[in-house]
Amino acid sequence: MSNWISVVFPTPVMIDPVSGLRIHLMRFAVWAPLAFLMTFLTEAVDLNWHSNAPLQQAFQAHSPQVAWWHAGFMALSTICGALFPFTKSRIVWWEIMIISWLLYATIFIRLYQRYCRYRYLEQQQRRQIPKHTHQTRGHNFLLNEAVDRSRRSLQLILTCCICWTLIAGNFTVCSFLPNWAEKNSIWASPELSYVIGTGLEAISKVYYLVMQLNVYDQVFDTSARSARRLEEMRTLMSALWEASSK
Amino acid sequence: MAPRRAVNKIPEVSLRHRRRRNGPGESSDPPVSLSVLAGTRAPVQAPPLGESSILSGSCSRLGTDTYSGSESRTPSTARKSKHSSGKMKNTTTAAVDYSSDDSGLLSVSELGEEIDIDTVDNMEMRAVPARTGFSTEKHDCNSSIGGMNADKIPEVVIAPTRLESKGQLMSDDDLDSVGQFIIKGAAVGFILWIFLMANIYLIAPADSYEYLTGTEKQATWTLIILLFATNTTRIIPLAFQKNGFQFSKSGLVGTFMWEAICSELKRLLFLCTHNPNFTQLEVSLSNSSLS
Repeated sequence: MSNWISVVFPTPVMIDPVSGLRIHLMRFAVWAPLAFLMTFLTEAVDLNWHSNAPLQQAFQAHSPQVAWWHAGFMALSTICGALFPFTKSRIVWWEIMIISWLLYATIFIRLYQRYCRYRYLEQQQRRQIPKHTHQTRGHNFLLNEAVDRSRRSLQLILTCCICWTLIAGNFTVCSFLPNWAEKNSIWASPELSYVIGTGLEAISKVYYLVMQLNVYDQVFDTSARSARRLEEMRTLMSALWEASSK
Repeated sequence: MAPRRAVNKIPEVSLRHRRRRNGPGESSDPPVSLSVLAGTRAPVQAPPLGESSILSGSCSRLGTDTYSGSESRTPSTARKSKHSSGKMKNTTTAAVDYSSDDSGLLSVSELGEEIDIDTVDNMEMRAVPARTGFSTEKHDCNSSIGGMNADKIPEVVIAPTRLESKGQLMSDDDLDSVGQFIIKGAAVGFILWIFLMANIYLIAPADSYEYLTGTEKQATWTLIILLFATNTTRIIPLAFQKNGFQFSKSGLVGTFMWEAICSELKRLLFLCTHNPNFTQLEVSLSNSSLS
């Protein structure tokens, strides 16, 4: 919708007075809620729904308020990009840049915490599998589901982390390129940042959508969930039947 | 395997869902699960109590055979009883060896290498002797069988798994919470989008409005078509799945979309190769290679 508006109608494009970069404000108006929503969905996939831990422990406990805070940090970090054209001094410009990157750095912390949670749940699942067997899943349905959800959430946040780091890195590097490169070279092209950013945005959105649909099948599709539960029930019944038949 | 005892009496055994002292971040009423080690010595994790009658029967058998004649034991936690002998040790492993002996009852057996007590932290079974005046308000009774010798009623208390007690394992009820939570987030995201769009149009100077031209316009068109194609081929079939609209899964829509994307990419490439900046890059590259 916003992309269509930016193609069809005139949109505000401002020049960053410090870096000289052309900044399309419309894109940041789109990216900020998008970053919020994608982060929120990523976090909501695997949260500890019964946790009321205080904020100091919320990130460690994966409580629901983490989703709000983390998504808010990502949105604020993106909004900082739209403030660059309005800065008057170089110091303020650098302050905004540092604040933006610090806010963005929470995604790396969350990535690590998600990885730790996945490892922990996977170890719990592995302990349920008897030795000398070829089973890959335990027999606790809820635990298996938790491991799968944790894996999906880790994949989602890893996808966001890689794509958005490339986008943020592209923006940062392109902010300095016009000052470093020769004026007639491609690296000094004012369109370079926009084109690369658009390509990375496409990769991010398409890949995230594919993964989000897999998450839907994994978490929210009741028919698929029922089928998996029936499969667990079948395994239980088979084991009991075999044992009672001896 | 520990020797099984002949069961003459079937004491009444009730399976109780022991309510733990929960912390602020823990579930107040988590489901109960039990691992049953069948004759194949494969642990089978059953669904929570109350969801399957099969599990209730298994648990009852467990309690019947395990605690017959061992009613006088003191309450013992799993870890304490690790060092004790006899059946209490077996109960700590929280596993049941189902065997078709003459009593036809399940018996607790030593789990051996299958699950070590130090590693069993998501499953705990505790033996608690019968007590008079047992408060049912503090304990949820899930099932009971038998009906003999009420004075010697041992109680098998199956504690919830540690993960479940922390609320880390999502139950079916939690799925509704997820849906409402995501709707709230989507609403906040939509409001944020409207707010930012309005502010940008208000704050931006009037002379800063431009049409996209050249490479930027081509890149944006390519992005729009790519997103449209992706959404069409993935989301629309999902949306119409229950209505039987399977036509969009046939690949025709996706094929046409990819044709459009390829043509746009071709135009973009043509535009880039005729861009003076790219021409300059080619010249600089050729000069550097010659030198």
